Amino acid sequence: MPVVDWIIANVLTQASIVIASVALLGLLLQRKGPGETIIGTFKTLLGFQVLAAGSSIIVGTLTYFGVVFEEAFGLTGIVPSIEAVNGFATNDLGLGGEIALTFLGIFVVNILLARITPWKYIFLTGQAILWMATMTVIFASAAGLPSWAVIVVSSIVGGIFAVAMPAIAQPIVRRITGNDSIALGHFCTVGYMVEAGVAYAVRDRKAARRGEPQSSWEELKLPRSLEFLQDTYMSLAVVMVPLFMITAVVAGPDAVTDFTGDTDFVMYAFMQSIQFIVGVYVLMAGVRLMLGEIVPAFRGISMRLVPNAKPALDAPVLFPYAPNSVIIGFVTTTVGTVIAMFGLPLLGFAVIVPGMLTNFFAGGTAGIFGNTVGGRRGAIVGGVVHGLFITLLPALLVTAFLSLGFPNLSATDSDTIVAALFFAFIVGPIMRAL
Amino acid sequence: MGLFSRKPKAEAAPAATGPTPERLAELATEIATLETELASADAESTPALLDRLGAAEQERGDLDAAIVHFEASLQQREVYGPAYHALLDLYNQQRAAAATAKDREGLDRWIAKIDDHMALSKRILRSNY
Repeated sequence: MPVVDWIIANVLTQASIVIASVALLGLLLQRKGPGETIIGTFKTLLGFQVLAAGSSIIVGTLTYFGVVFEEAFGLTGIVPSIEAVNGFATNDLGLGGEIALTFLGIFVVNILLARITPWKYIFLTGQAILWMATMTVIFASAAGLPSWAVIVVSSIVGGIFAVAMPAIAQPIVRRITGNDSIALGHFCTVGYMVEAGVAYAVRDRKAARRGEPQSSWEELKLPRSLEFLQDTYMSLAVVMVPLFMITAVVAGPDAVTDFTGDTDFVMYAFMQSIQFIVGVYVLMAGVRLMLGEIVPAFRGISMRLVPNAKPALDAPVLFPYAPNSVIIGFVTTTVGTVIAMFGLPLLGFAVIVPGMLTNFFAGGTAGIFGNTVGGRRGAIVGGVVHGLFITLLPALLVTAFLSLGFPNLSATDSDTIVAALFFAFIVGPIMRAL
Repeated sequence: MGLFSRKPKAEAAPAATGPTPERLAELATEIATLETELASADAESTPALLDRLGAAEQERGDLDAAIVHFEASLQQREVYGPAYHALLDLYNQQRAAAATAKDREGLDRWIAKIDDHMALSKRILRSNY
Protein backbone atom coordinates (compact mmCIF):
# COMPACT_ATOMS: atom_id res chain seq x y z
CA MET A 1 0.00 0.00 0.00
CA PRO A 2 1.67 3.28 -1.04
CA VAL A 3 0.50 5.25 2.00
CA VAL A 4 1.81 2.66 4.45
CA ASP A 5 5.05 2.37 2.49
CA TRP A 6 5.40 6.15 2.51
CA ILE A 7 4.86 6.26 6.29
CA ILE A 8 7.41 3.51 6.88
CA ALA A 9 10.00 5.08 4.57
CA ASN A 10 9.56 8.73 5.56
CA VAL A 11 8.07 8.91 9.04
CA LEU A 12 9.15 5.86 11.03
CA THR A 13 12.74 6.22 9.89
CA GLN A 14 12.86 9.66 11.51
CA ALA A 15 14.38 9.20 14.97
CA SER A 16 12.67 12.32 16.27
CA ILE A 17 9.28 10.87 15.30
CA VAL A 18 10.11 7.57 16.99
CA ILE A 19 11.08 9.19 20.26
CA ALA A 20 8.09 11.53 20.15
CA SER A 21 5.94 8.43 19.69
CA VAL A 22 7.50 6.90 22.80
CA ALA A 23 6.57 10.08 24.70
CA LEU A 24 3.05 9.94 23.24
CA LEU A 25 2.69 6.35 24.45
CA GLY A 26 3.83 7.32 27.93
CA LEU A 27 1.45 10.27 28.09
CA LEU A 28 -1.48 8.15 26.89
CA LEU A 29 -0.67 5.43 29.44
CA GLN A 30 -0.66 8.13 32.11
CA ARG A 31 -4.13 9.18 30.87
CA LYS A 32 -3.09 12.80 30.43
CA GLY A 33 -5.58 15.18 28.79
CA PRO A 34 -5.41 15.96 25.05
CA GLY A 35 -3.71 19.33 25.60
CA GLU A 36 -1.00 17.90 27.85
CA THR A 37 -0.48 14.97 25.49
CA ILE A 38 -0.02 17.19 22.43
CA ILE A 39 2.28 19.63 24.26
CA GLY A 40 4.35 16.83 25.80
CA THR A 41 4.76 15.02 22.48
CA PHE A 42 5.72 18.25 20.71
CA LYS A 43 8.26 19.16 23.42
CA THR A 44 9.91 15.76 23.03
CA LEU A 45 10.13 16.24 19.26
CA LEU A 46 11.56 19.71 19.80
CA GLY A 47 14.03 18.46 22.39
CA PHE A 48 15.38 15.89 19.96
CA GLN A 49 16.04 18.56 17.33
CA VAL A 50 17.75 20.79 19.91
CA LEU A 51 19.94 17.83 20.88
CA ALA A 52 20.84 17.31 17.22
CA ALA A 53 21.78 20.98 16.90
CA GLY A 54 24.06 20.76 19.93
CA SER A 55 25.67 17.63 18.54
CA SER A 56 26.49 19.37 15.27
CA ILE A 57 28.28 22.15 17.13
CA ILE A 58 30.31 19.67 19.20
CA VAL A 59 31.29 17.56 16.17
CA GLY A 60 32.60 20.68 14.40
CA THR A 61 34.83 21.68 17.32
CA LEU A 62 36.11 18.16 17.91
CA THR A 63 36.98 17.73 14.25
CA TYR A 64 39.24 20.77 14.59
CA PHE A 65 40.57 19.53 17.95
CA GLY A 66 41.51 16.13 16.53
CA VAL A 67 43.59 17.70 13.75
CA VAL A 68 45.37 20.27 15.93
CA PHE A 69 46.13 17.75 18.71
CA GLU A 70 47.61 15.29 16.24
CA GLU A 71 49.76 18.07 14.75
CA ALA A 72 50.89 19.28 18.17
CA PHE A 73 51.72 16.03 19.92
CA GLY A 74 51.59 13.27 17.31
CA LEU A 75 48.95 11.58 19.44
CA THR A 76 45.20 11.08 19.31
CA GLY A 77 43.45 13.36 21.78
CA ILE A 78 40.11 12.07 23.02
CA VAL A 79 37.42 14.06 24.82
CA PRO A 80 35.24 11.77 26.94
CA SER A 81 31.66 12.99 26.67
CA ILE A 82 28.77 10.54 26.76
CA GLU A 83 26.45 13.40 25.85
CA ALA A 84 28.37 14.08 22.64
CA VAL A 85 28.52 10.34 21.90
CA ASN A 86 24.72 10.25 22.12
CA GLY A 87 24.43 13.28 19.87
CA PHE A 88 26.73 11.83 17.21
CA ALA A 89 25.09 8.39 17.32
CA THR A 90 21.65 9.96 16.97
CA ASN A 91 22.51 12.61 14.40
CA ASP A 92 25.24 11.13 12.26
CA LEU A 93 24.97 7.36 12.63
CA GLY A 94 21.19 7.34 12.33
CA LEU A 95 20.74 5.26 15.48
CA GLY A 96 18.26 7.63 17.14
CA GLY A 97 15.26 5.38 16.57
CA GLU A 98 16.99 2.31 18.01
CA ILE A 99 18.22 4.35 20.99
CA ALA A 100 14.70 5.65 21.67
CA LEU A 101 13.15 2.18 21.53
CA THR A 102 15.95 0.68 23.64
CA PHE A 103 15.39 3.46 26.19
CA LEU A 104 11.79 2.25 26.48
CA GLY A 105 12.91 -1.38 26.42
CA ILE A 106 15.26 -0.89 29.38
CA PHE A 107 12.34 0.37 31.48
CA VAL A 108 10.29 -2.69 30.46
CA VAL A 109 13.07 -5.17 31.27
CA ASN A 110 13.76 -3.37 34.56
CA ILE A 111 10.10 -3.76 35.56
CA LEU A 112 10.06 -7.44 34.59
CA LEU A 113 13.24 -8.24 36.51
CA ALA A 114 12.07 -6.28 39.56
CA ARG A 115 8.82 -8.23 39.56
CA ILE A 116 10.23 -11.72 39.15
CA THR A 117 13.62 -11.57 40.91
CA PRO A 118 14.60 -10.69 44.50
CA TRP A 119 16.33 -7.57 43.11
CA LYS A 120 13.50 -5.14 43.60
CA TYR A 121 15.03 -1.94 42.26
CA ILE A 122 13.52 0.56 39.83
CA PHE A 123 16.15 2.71 38.16
CA LEU A 124 14.82 6.27 38.22
CA THR A 125 17.72 8.26 36.72
CA GLY A 126 16.40 8.95 33.23
CA GLN A 127 19.55 10.45 31.72
CA ALA A 128 21.63 7.47 32.84
CA ILE A 129 19.22 5.11 31.08
CA LEU A 130 19.56 7.20 27.91
CA TRP A 131 23.36 6.89 28.07
CA MET A 132 23.12 3.12 28.63
CA ALA A 133 20.72 2.83 25.68
CA THR A 134 23.17 4.85 23.58
CA MET A 135 26.22 2.73 24.31
CA THR A 136 24.49 -0.63 24.02
CA VAL A 137 22.86 0.33 20.71
CA ILE A 138 26.11 1.68 19.21
CA PHE A 139 28.09 -1.42 20.03
CA ALA A 140 25.32 -3.91 19.38
CA SER A 141 24.96 -2.33 15.97
CA ALA A 142 28.74 -2.41 15.42
CA ALA A 143 28.77 -6.09 16.45
CA GLY A 144 26.62 -6.85 13.43
CA LEU A 145 23.22 -7.47 14.98
CA PRO A 146 20.19 -6.61 12.82
CA SER A 147 18.15 -3.60 13.90
CA TRP A 148 15.39 -5.52 15.72
CA ALA A 149 18.00 -7.59 17.59
CA VAL A 150 19.93 -4.44 18.52
CA ILE A 151 16.84 -3.13 20.27
CA VAL A 152 15.94 -6.41 21.99
CA VAL A 153 19.42 -7.40 23.14
CA SER A 154 20.36 -3.85 24.18
CA SER A 155 17.15 -3.58 26.20
CA ILE A 156 17.89 -6.86 27.98
CA VAL A 157 21.50 -5.92 28.72
CA GLY A 158 20.53 -2.41 29.83
CA GLY A 159 17.66 -3.73 31.95
CA ILE A 160 19.98 -6.19 33.69
CA PHE A 161 22.39 -3.38 34.48
CA ALA A 162 19.49 -1.26 35.78
CA VAL A 163 18.75 -3.91 38.38
CA ALA A 164 22.15 -5.42 39.01
CA MET A 165 24.15 -2.23 39.55
CA PRO A 166 21.94 -0.90 42.38
CA ALA A 167 21.93 -4.41 43.89
CA ILE A 168 25.74 -4.66 43.78
CA ALA A 169 26.20 -1.25 45.39
CA GLN A 170 23.45 -1.71 48.00
CA PRO A 171 25.55 -3.32 50.79
CA ILE A 172 27.77 -0.23 50.83
CA VAL A 173 24.89 2.21 50.20
CA ARG A 174 23.24 0.74 53.33
CA ARG A 175 26.37 1.56 55.34
CA ILE A 176 26.44 5.09 53.89
CA THR A 177 22.77 5.95 54.50
CA GLY A 178 22.12 3.82 57.55
CA ASN A 179 18.94 2.38 56.04
CA ASP A 180 17.76 0.16 53.23
CA SER A 181 14.97 2.27 51.77
CA ILE A 182 16.80 3.88 48.85
CA ALA A 183 19.34 2.62 46.33
CA LEU A 184 21.87 4.21 43.99
CA GLY A 185 20.88 4.61 40.34
CA HIS A 186 24.04 5.86 38.64
CA PHE A 187 25.79 3.93 35.88
CA CYS A 188 29.27 4.39 37.32
CA THR A 189 28.86 1.60 39.89
CA VAL A 190 31.70 -0.53 38.53
CA GLY A 191 34.06 2.37 39.25
CA TYR A 192 32.59 2.81 42.74
CA MET A 193 33.17 -0.84 43.55
CA VAL A 194 36.75 -0.59 42.26
CA GLU A 195 37.37 2.31 44.66
CA ALA A 196 35.64 0.42 47.47
CA GLY A 197 37.80 -2.64 46.83
CA VAL A 198 41.01 -0.60 46.89
CA ALA A 199 39.82 1.25 50.01
CA TYR A 200 39.12 -2.06 51.71
CA ALA A 201 42.62 -3.26 50.87
CA VAL A 202 44.30 -0.17 52.35
CA ARG A 203 41.98 0.29 55.35
CA ASP A 204 43.28 0.62 58.89
CA ARG A 205 43.36 -3.07 59.76
CA LYS A 206 44.19 -2.51 63.43
CA ALA A 207 41.06 -0.40 63.86
CA ALA A 208 39.05 -2.98 61.93
CA ARG A 209 40.31 -5.80 64.20
CA ARG A 210 39.37 -3.78 67.28
CA GLY A 211 35.91 -3.28 65.82
CA GLU A 212 36.41 0.48 65.69
CA PRO A 213 35.14 2.62 62.81
CA GLN A 214 37.62 3.82 60.20
CA SER A 215 38.79 7.44 60.32
CA SER A 216 36.54 9.66 58.25
CA TRP A 217 36.91 12.82 56.19
CA GLU A 218 33.63 13.96 57.70
CA GLU A 219 35.43 14.52 61.02
CA LEU A 220 37.44 17.35 59.43
CA LYS A 221 36.59 20.79 58.07
CA LEU A 222 37.65 21.43 54.49
CA PRO A 223 38.43 24.92 53.16
CA ARG A 224 36.17 26.61 50.63
CA SER A 225 38.37 26.68 47.57
CA LEU A 226 36.51 25.08 44.70
CA GLU A 227 33.94 27.74 43.91
CA PHE A 228 34.25 27.13 40.18
CA LEU A 229 32.31 23.93 40.81
CA GLN A 230 29.28 26.11 41.37
CA ASP A 231 28.70 26.21 37.64
CA THR A 232 28.68 23.14 35.39
CA TYR A 233 29.90 25.03 32.33
CA MET A 234 32.70 26.80 34.20
CA SER A 235 33.91 23.32 35.19
CA LEU A 236 34.08 22.45 31.48
CA ALA A 237 35.78 25.74 30.61
CA VAL A 238 38.53 25.19 33.19
CA VAL A 239 39.70 22.17 31.17
CA MET A 240 38.71 22.88 27.57
CA VAL A 241 39.92 26.48 27.17
CA PRO A 242 43.53 25.85 28.28
CA LEU A 243 43.56 22.51 26.48
CA PHE A 244 42.51 23.98 23.15
CA MET A 245 44.78 27.03 23.43
CA ILE A 246 47.91 25.19 24.60
CA THR A 247 47.42 22.60 21.87
CA ALA A 248 47.09 25.34 19.25
CA VAL A 249 50.24 27.11 20.46
CA VAL A 250 52.24 23.88 20.33
CA ALA A 251 50.87 22.96 16.89
CA GLY A 252 51.57 26.40 15.45
CA PRO A 253 49.57 28.46 12.95
CA ASP A 254 50.42 26.47 9.83
CA ALA A 255 48.84 23.27 11.12
CA VAL A 256 45.24 24.51 10.94
CA THR A 257 45.04 27.15 8.21
CA ASP A 258 42.22 25.15 6.61
CA PHE A 259 40.14 25.90 9.69
CA THR A 260 41.28 29.36 10.77
CA GLY A 261 41.31 31.30 7.52
CA ASP A 262 42.28 34.90 8.41
CA THR A 263 41.55 34.50 12.15
CA ASP A 264 44.50 34.39 14.52
CA PHE A 265 45.12 30.71 15.34
CA VAL A 266 45.15 31.19 19.13
CA MET A 267 41.95 33.23 19.06
CA TYR A 268 40.41 30.58 16.82
CA ALA A 269 41.37 27.89 19.35
CA PHE A 270 39.81 29.93 22.17
CA MET A 271 36.57 30.37 20.22
CA GLN A 272 36.46 26.68 19.35
CA SER A 273 36.77 25.75 23.03
CA ILE A 274 33.87 28.10 23.81
CA GLN A 275 31.92 26.57 20.94
CA PHE A 276 32.44 23.13 22.49
CA ILE A 277 30.94 24.33 25.76
CA VAL A 278 28.07 25.97 23.86
CA GLY A 279 27.49 22.68 22.04
CA VAL A 280 27.30 20.78 25.34
CA TYR A 281 24.92 23.41 26.74
CA VAL A 282 22.60 23.17 23.73
CA LEU A 283 22.77 19.38 23.65
CA MET A 284 21.95 19.09 27.36
CA ALA A 285 19.07 21.52 26.97
CA GLY A 286 17.75 19.24 24.25
CA VAL A 287 18.20 16.14 26.43
CA ARG A 288 16.29 17.76 29.32
CA LEU A 289 13.47 18.87 27.02
CA MET A 290 13.31 15.47 25.36
CA LEU A 291 13.34 13.46 28.58
CA GLY A 292 11.12 15.88 30.46
CA GLU A 293 7.97 14.09 29.34
CA ILE A 294 9.19 10.54 28.78
CA VAL A 295 10.97 9.91 32.06
CA PRO A 296 8.16 10.96 34.46
CA ALA A 297 5.70 8.85 32.48
CA PHE A 298 7.65 5.62 32.57
CA ARG A 299 9.01 6.10 36.08
CA GLY A 300 5.49 6.43 37.40
CA ILE A 301 4.38 3.33 35.51
CA SER A 302 7.41 1.38 36.77
CA MET A 303 6.79 2.27 40.41
CA ARG A 304 3.08 1.43 40.15
CA LEU A 305 3.79 -1.99 38.65
CA VAL A 306 6.38 -2.83 41.34
CA PRO A 307 5.15 -0.88 44.39
CA ASN A 308 7.50 -2.60 46.85
CA ALA A 309 10.61 -1.78 44.79
CA LYS A 310 13.33 0.48 46.07
CA PRO A 311 13.90 3.62 43.98
CA ALA A 312 17.44 3.75 42.58
CA LEU A 313 18.25 7.46 42.66
CA ASP A 314 20.88 9.70 41.10
CA ALA A 315 24.31 10.11 42.70
CA PRO A 316 23.54 13.34 44.63
CA VAL A 317 21.28 11.26 46.91
CA LEU A 318 24.46 10.18 48.76
CA PHE A 319 26.15 13.62 48.91
CA PRO A 320 24.50 14.73 52.17
CA TYR A 321 25.85 11.70 54.04
CA ALA A 322 29.49 12.54 53.34
CA PRO A 323 29.98 15.95 51.67
CA ASN A 324 33.68 16.21 52.52
CA SER A 325 34.26 12.82 50.92
CA VAL A 326 32.66 14.12 47.72
CA ILE A 327 35.31 16.84 47.49
CA ILE A 328 38.15 14.44 48.39
CA GLY A 329 36.81 12.00 45.82
CA PHE A 330 36.67 14.70 43.15
CA VAL A 331 40.23 15.88 43.83
CA THR A 332 41.79 12.41 44.03
CA THR A 333 39.90 11.14 40.98
CA THR A 334 41.14 14.20 39.06
CA VAL A 335 44.71 13.39 40.14
CA GLY A 336 44.22 9.86 38.83
CA THR A 337 42.80 11.04 35.51
CA VAL A 338 45.69 13.48 35.01
CA ILE A 339 48.24 10.73 35.75
CA ALA A 340 46.43 8.47 33.27
CA MET A 341 46.28 11.24 30.65
CA PHE A 342 50.08 11.34 30.57
CA GLY A 343 50.72 7.68 31.42
CA LEU A 344 48.37 5.80 29.09
CA PRO A 345 50.00 7.10 25.87
CA LEU A 346 53.25 5.51 27.07
CA LEU A 347 51.40 2.20 26.85
CA GLY A 348 50.13 2.92 23.37
CA PHE A 349 46.72 4.33 24.27
CA ALA A 350 45.30 7.66 23.16
CA VAL A 351 45.40 10.75 25.35
CA ILE A 352 42.14 10.87 27.31
CA VAL A 353 41.32 14.39 28.47
CA PRO A 354 39.98 14.49 32.06
CA GLY A 355 36.22 15.05 32.15
CA MET A 356 35.57 17.42 35.03
CA LEU A 357 31.84 16.69 35.29
CA THR A 358 32.53 12.97 35.55
CA ASN A 359 35.34 13.62 38.01
CA PHE A 360 32.94 15.59 40.18
CA PHE A 361 29.84 13.37 40.13
CA ALA A 362 31.39 9.94 39.69
CA GLY A 363 34.61 10.81 41.52
CA GLY A 364 32.69 12.46 44.33
CA THR A 365 30.36 9.50 44.79
CA ALA A 366 33.29 7.09 44.61
CA GLY A 367 34.94 9.16 47.34
CA ILE A 368 31.96 8.44 49.59
CA PHE A 369 32.38 4.72 48.93
CA GLY A 370 36.12 4.91 49.62
CA ASN A 371 35.68 6.88 52.85
CA THR A 372 32.95 4.54 54.11
CA VAL A 373 34.94 1.35 53.49
CA GLY A 374 38.52 2.46 54.08
CA GLY A 375 38.43 5.76 55.95
CA ARG A 376 40.62 8.71 54.94
CA ARG A 377 43.36 6.53 53.48
CA GLY A 378 40.82 4.53 51.52
CA ALA A 379 39.27 7.65 50.03
CA ILE A 380 42.64 9.01 48.87
CA VAL A 381 44.25 5.84 47.49
CA GLY A 382 40.94 4.56 46.17
CA GLY A 383 40.23 7.91 44.52
CA VAL A 384 43.49 7.96 42.58
CA VAL A 385 42.96 4.37 41.44
CA HIS A 386 39.37 5.28 40.49
CA GLY A 387 40.72 8.10 38.32
CA LEU A 388 43.12 5.72 36.59
CA PHE A 389 40.32 3.19 36.07
CA ILE A 390 37.77 5.59 34.61
CA THR A 391 40.40 6.84 32.16
CA LEU A 392 41.53 3.37 31.12
CA LEU A 393 37.98 2.22 30.30
CA PRO A 394 37.26 4.87 27.64
CA ALA A 395 40.79 4.34 26.29
CA LEU A 396 39.87 0.71 25.57
CA LEU A 397 37.04 1.88 23.32
CA VAL A 398 38.89 4.58 21.37
CA THR A 399 39.81 2.38 18.42
CA ALA A 400 36.25 1.12 18.14
CA PHE A 401 34.82 4.64 18.34
CA LEU A 402 37.23 6.00 15.71
CA SER A 403 36.46 3.11 13.36
CA LEU A 404 32.75 3.96 13.65
CA GLY A 405 33.47 7.54 12.62
CA PHE A 406 33.26 9.28 16.00
CA PRO A 407 35.34 12.50 16.03
CA ASN A 408 37.83 12.14 18.89
CA LEU A 409 35.17 11.09 21.36
CA SER A 410 34.81 8.40 23.95
CA ALA A 411 32.34 7.61 26.69
CA THR A 412 32.52 8.27 30.41
CA ASP A 413 30.21 6.26 32.68
CA SER A 414 31.97 3.03 33.61
CA ASP A 415 28.91 0.75 33.55
CA THR A 416 27.96 1.86 30.04
CA ILE A 417 31.51 1.16 28.88
CA VAL A 418 31.42 -2.31 30.44
CA ALA A 419 28.16 -2.98 28.58
CA ALA A 420 29.81 -1.76 25.35
CA LEU A 421 32.84 -3.99 25.97
CA PHE A 422 30.46 -6.94 26.34
CA PHE A 423 29.19 -6.31 22.80
CA ALA A 424 32.65 -5.50 21.42
CA PHE A 425 34.50 -8.50 22.84
CA ILE A 426 31.82 -11.18 23.26
CA VAL A 427 28.85 -10.54 20.98
CA GLY A 428 30.93 -9.16 18.12
CA PRO A 429 33.29 -12.16 17.81
CA ILE A 430 30.30 -14.52 18.06
CA MET A 431 28.51 -12.69 15.23
CA ARG A 432 31.65 -12.72 13.09
CA ALA A 433 32.10 -16.44 13.69
CA LEU A 434 28.52 -17.23 12.60
CA MET B 1 33.35 -5.09 59.05
CA GLY B 2 33.81 -6.78 55.65
CA LEU B 3 33.61 -5.03 52.28
CA PHE B 4 30.06 -6.24 51.88
CA SER B 5 28.19 -6.09 55.15
CA ARG B 6 25.53 -8.74 55.41
CA LYS B 7 22.02 -7.44 55.02
CA PRO B 8 20.41 -7.54 58.48
CA LYS B 9 18.05 -10.46 58.72
CA ALA B 10 14.47 -9.34 58.68
CA GLU B 11 13.31 -9.91 62.22
CA ALA B 12 9.71 -10.64 62.93
CA ALA B 13 8.32 -7.15 62.86
CA PRO B 14 6.57 -6.19 66.08
CA ALA B 15 2.99 -5.11 65.65
CA ALA B 16 2.93 -1.43 64.70
CA THR B 17 1.70 0.37 67.80
CA GLY B 18 2.49 4.03 67.21
CA PRO B 19 2.84 6.51 70.07
CA THR B 20 0.99 5.73 73.29
CA PRO B 21 -1.88 8.06 74.30
CA GLU B 22 0.41 9.57 76.92
CA ARG B 23 3.10 10.25 74.33
CA LEU B 24 0.53 11.72 71.94
CA ALA B 25 -0.55 14.12 74.66
CA GLU B 26 3.07 15.09 75.27
CA LEU B 27 3.58 15.64 71.55
CA ALA B 28 0.47 17.81 71.33
CA THR B 29 1.76 19.98 74.18
CA GLU B 30 5.23 20.13 72.62
CA ILE B 31 3.80 21.15 69.25
CA ALA B 32 1.65 23.89 70.80
CA THR B 33 4.68 25.23 72.70
CA LEU B 34 6.87 25.19 69.61
CA GLU B 35 4.23 26.98 67.55
CA THR B 36 4.06 29.72 70.18
CA GLU B 37 7.85 30.07 70.18
CA LEU B 38 7.87 30.10 66.38
CA ALA B 39 5.50 33.05 66.24
CA SER B 40 8.05 35.27 67.99
CA ALA B 41 11.28 33.64 66.84
CA ASP B 42 14.01 35.52 64.98
CA ALA B 43 15.38 34.40 61.61
CA GLU B 44 18.33 32.58 63.18
CA SER B 45 16.34 30.33 65.48
CA THR B 46 13.37 29.69 63.16
CA PRO B 47 14.89 26.78 61.16
CA ALA B 48 15.78 24.82 64.32
CA LEU B 49 12.25 25.34 65.69
CA LEU B 50 10.76 24.20 62.39
CA ASP B 51 12.96 21.09 62.51
CA ARG B 52 11.69 20.25 66.00
CA LEU B 53 8.11 20.85 64.90
CA GLY B 54 8.61 18.61 61.91
CA ALA B 55 10.12 15.85 64.04
CA ALA B 56 7.21 16.07 66.52
CA GLU B 57 4.61 15.91 63.75
CA GLN B 58 6.46 12.98 62.19
CA GLU B 59 6.41 11.10 65.47
CA ARG B 60 2.73 11.93 65.90
CA GLY B 61 2.08 10.41 62.48
CA ASP B 62 1.03 13.57 60.62
CA LEU B 63 3.48 13.20 57.74
CA ASP B 64 1.97 15.99 55.63
CA ALA B 65 2.38 18.51 58.48
CA ALA B 66 5.93 17.25 59.10
CA ILE B 67 6.77 17.79 55.42
CA VAL B 68 5.42 21.35 55.52
CA HIS B 69 7.60 22.24 58.52
CA PHE B 70 10.75 20.60 57.18
CA GLU B 71 10.29 22.25 53.77
CA ALA B 72 9.87 25.63 55.48
CA SER B 73 13.06 25.01 57.44
CA LEU B 74 15.01 24.16 54.29
CA GLN B 75 13.64 27.18 52.52
CA GLN B 76 15.07 29.39 55.28
CA ARG B 77 18.39 27.58 55.49
CA GLU B 78 19.58 25.25 52.75
CA VAL B 79 21.99 22.90 54.53
CA TYR B 80 22.45 19.19 54.96
CA GLY B 81 20.73 18.71 58.27
CA PRO B 82 17.74 17.14 60.03
CA ALA B 83 15.26 18.75 57.61
CA TYR B 84 17.08 17.51 54.51
CA HIS B 85 17.42 13.93 55.74
CA ALA B 86 13.91 13.78 57.14
CA LEU B 87 12.37 15.06 53.90
CA LEU B 88 14.10 12.42 51.77
CA ASP B 89 12.75 9.75 54.09
CA LEU B 90 9.25 11.27 54.15
CA TYR B 91 9.08 11.77 50.38
CA ASN B 92 10.11 8.14 49.91
CA GLN B 93 7.47 6.94 52.39
CA GLN B 94 4.77 8.98 50.64
CA ARG B 95 5.98 7.69 47.26
CA ALA B 96 5.75 4.10 48.46
CA ALA B 97 2.27 4.71 49.89
CA ALA B 98 1.11 6.25 46.59
CA ALA B 99 2.58 3.33 44.63
CA THR B 100 0.81 0.79 46.84
CA ALA B 101 -2.47 2.71 46.53
CA LYS B 102 -1.99 2.96 42.73
CA ASP B 103 -2.35 6.75 43.16
CA ARG B 104 -0.96 7.93 39.81
CA GLU B 105 -0.96 11.66 40.56
CA GLY B 106 0.41 11.16 44.05
CA LEU B 107 3.21 9.00 42.72
CA ASP B 108 4.16 11.61 40.10
CA ARG B 109 4.08 14.33 42.75
CA TRP B 110 6.35 12.52 45.21
CA ILE B 111 8.81 11.38 42.53
CA ALA B 112 9.01 15.02 41.35
CA LYS B 113 9.68 16.07 44.97
CA ILE B 114 12.50 13.53 45.17
CA ASP B 115 13.92 14.92 41.90
CA ASP B 116 13.88 18.45 43.35
CA HIS B 117 15.56 17.10 46.48
CA MET B 118 18.41 15.69 44.36
CA ALA B 119 18.83 19.08 42.68
CA LEU B 120 18.88 20.71 46.12
CA SER B 121 21.59 18.28 47.21
CA LYS B 122 23.81 19.42 44.33
CA ARG B 123 23.05 23.07 45.10
CA ILE B 124 23.93 22.73 48.79
CA LEU B 125 27.21 20.95 48.01
CA ARG B 126 28.22 23.58 45.49
CA SER B 127 27.32 26.49 47.74
CA ASN B 128 29.22 25.09 50.72
CA TYR B 129 32.47 24.24 48.96
